[in-house]
Amino acid sequence: MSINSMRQGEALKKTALFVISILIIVFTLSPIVWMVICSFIPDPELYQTPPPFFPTKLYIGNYQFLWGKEAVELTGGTPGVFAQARDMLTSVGNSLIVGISVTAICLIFGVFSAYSFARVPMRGSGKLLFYVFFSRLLPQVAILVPIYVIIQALNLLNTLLAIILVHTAFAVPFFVWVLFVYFKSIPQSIEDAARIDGCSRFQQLRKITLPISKPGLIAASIFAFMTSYNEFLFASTLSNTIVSRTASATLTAVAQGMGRYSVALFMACDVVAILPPLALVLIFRKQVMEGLVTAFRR
Amino acid sequence: MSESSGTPSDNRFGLLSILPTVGFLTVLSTAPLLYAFALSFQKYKLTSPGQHPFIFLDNYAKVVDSYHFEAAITNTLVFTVGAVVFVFVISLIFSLALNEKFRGSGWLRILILVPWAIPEMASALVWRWIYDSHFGVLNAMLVYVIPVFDSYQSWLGSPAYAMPAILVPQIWKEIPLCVLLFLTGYSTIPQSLYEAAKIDGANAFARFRRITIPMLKPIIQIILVYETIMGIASFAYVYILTGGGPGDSTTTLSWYTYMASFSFADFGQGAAIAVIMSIISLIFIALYFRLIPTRRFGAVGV
Repeated sequence: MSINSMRQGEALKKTALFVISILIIVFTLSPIVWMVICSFIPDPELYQTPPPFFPTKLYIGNYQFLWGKEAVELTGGTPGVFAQARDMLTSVGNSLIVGISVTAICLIFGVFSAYSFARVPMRGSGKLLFYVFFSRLLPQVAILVPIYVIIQALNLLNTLLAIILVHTAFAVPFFVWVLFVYFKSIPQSIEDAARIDGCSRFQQLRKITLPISKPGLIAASIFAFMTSYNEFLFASTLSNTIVSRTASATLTAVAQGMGRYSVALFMACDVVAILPPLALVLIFRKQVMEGLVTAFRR
Repeated sequence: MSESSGTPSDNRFGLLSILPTVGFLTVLSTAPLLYAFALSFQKYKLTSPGQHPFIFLDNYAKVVDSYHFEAAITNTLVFTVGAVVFVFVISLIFSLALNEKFRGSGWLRILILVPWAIPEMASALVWRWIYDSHFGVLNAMLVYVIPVFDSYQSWLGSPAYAMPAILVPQIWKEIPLCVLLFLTGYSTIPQSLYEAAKIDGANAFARFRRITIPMLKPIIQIILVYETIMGIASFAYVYILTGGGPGDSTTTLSWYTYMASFSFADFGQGAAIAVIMSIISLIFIALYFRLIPTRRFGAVGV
């Protein structure tokens, strides 16, 4: 290869990288950016052709409305729709309660299960692990009606507890799977040394394995929380009252009723709703990336 | 090996730690699935409560006979194949770029995670607004900024555009994970292979085709099968963006299940579609498990 063509190749590569980088930015961010822009525009100004691509001033009335202040610049719609938007903060609070509860239950039961699957020799435990994991991959809509009937029979409709139970069932398989793979990657010899020193299984887990598995625990916990925070179909079917709605359930109600009014308000709701998971993922990005990769490694 | 049977205390510990999880999932995952299976053989309409006679395969016959069914099968196929192909190609291109070190590449690797972190319903809401036929930003872009069209289009209301319109958010949501998987894939390929090929005079394309692709085979298989499973199960965007319409042009199996159960208030028929959809998924789930090494389970005494 001549020096000249090599230089040409370098320039070509640089250009390609630049173009793809721009594409990545546009592709990943454009819906989010538009959501944020719309949330900072007075509602009536949204319904123009073309819409204000670059708003000149920052209008925070939509957010003030969510925090209880009367807003003046809203178009159309019924008071009910506004009320729905105003419930958003309660809903995000509910989502946090549900998500944290789900994560806590996963931590209590899932850690032990994952550890036993990875370390304790038992006949049939491999098959049981498949049993635990495969349920997550089935289409969830398939069990919507049966779950509704079960929750109704337990008299738990419109309670956060019902949502916590169902979300735990959705979150625990992946939680166990991620930790299982993580525990497996830790050399057995570390624990063997502890066992020779007379540590019981529980002590081995608590004193040796758990402390060095912190990244795995963080990743698995975040996945459990996200599974719960994301879930909308069961959350909105199983509860229909303001006090028991999660953020995703309220967004579902909003999305179904959304016409061409109060959209700016709804976009503000949307921005508020995406903040908790987005913050979690960005703060723990390293553990999240490693955890995801671990879960799919062969 | 002595591994296959543990000490009594080990067995007790193992049993106690596995049983709660397995029991919990049996009640809230397996039992509902079996219940759906049972429902699919019963006449169970909300309009006639109280009696649920056993009607064998009647629900299946009705469901398969319905004109929705053919549309649901075709649309699920188109949606799934479309999602898999686009997710695969785009994340391959994105990941190849992100695999290079350049200014800002670290930031881009974090940025790519964003769609994965956004709740589905939150993105469904904004996609719906983007596609709006009167004030949507997509229309505004395509008419005023990059003038491709003369007038605003009804993206979600036209049979030609509705399917691509629900595919885009699915692709958007699934790309981050696949980019990450590709990136890990690249990192497992020994650099020495590339250097040896370079010395032999192989150009970049040849190195990609002869080294990268074959070495990535395991990751590629996992991506394809996993995305197929996700495509079949996808529900949010049909639910919020098109409601299966216009007509039946975006009715997928998951939407058909929901529609039969709740719009037609026929839990029996809904369950029948759910069973059919689950069986189709199970084929791919089985395939997925075959791709995960069984070797790893050997150590736990299967």
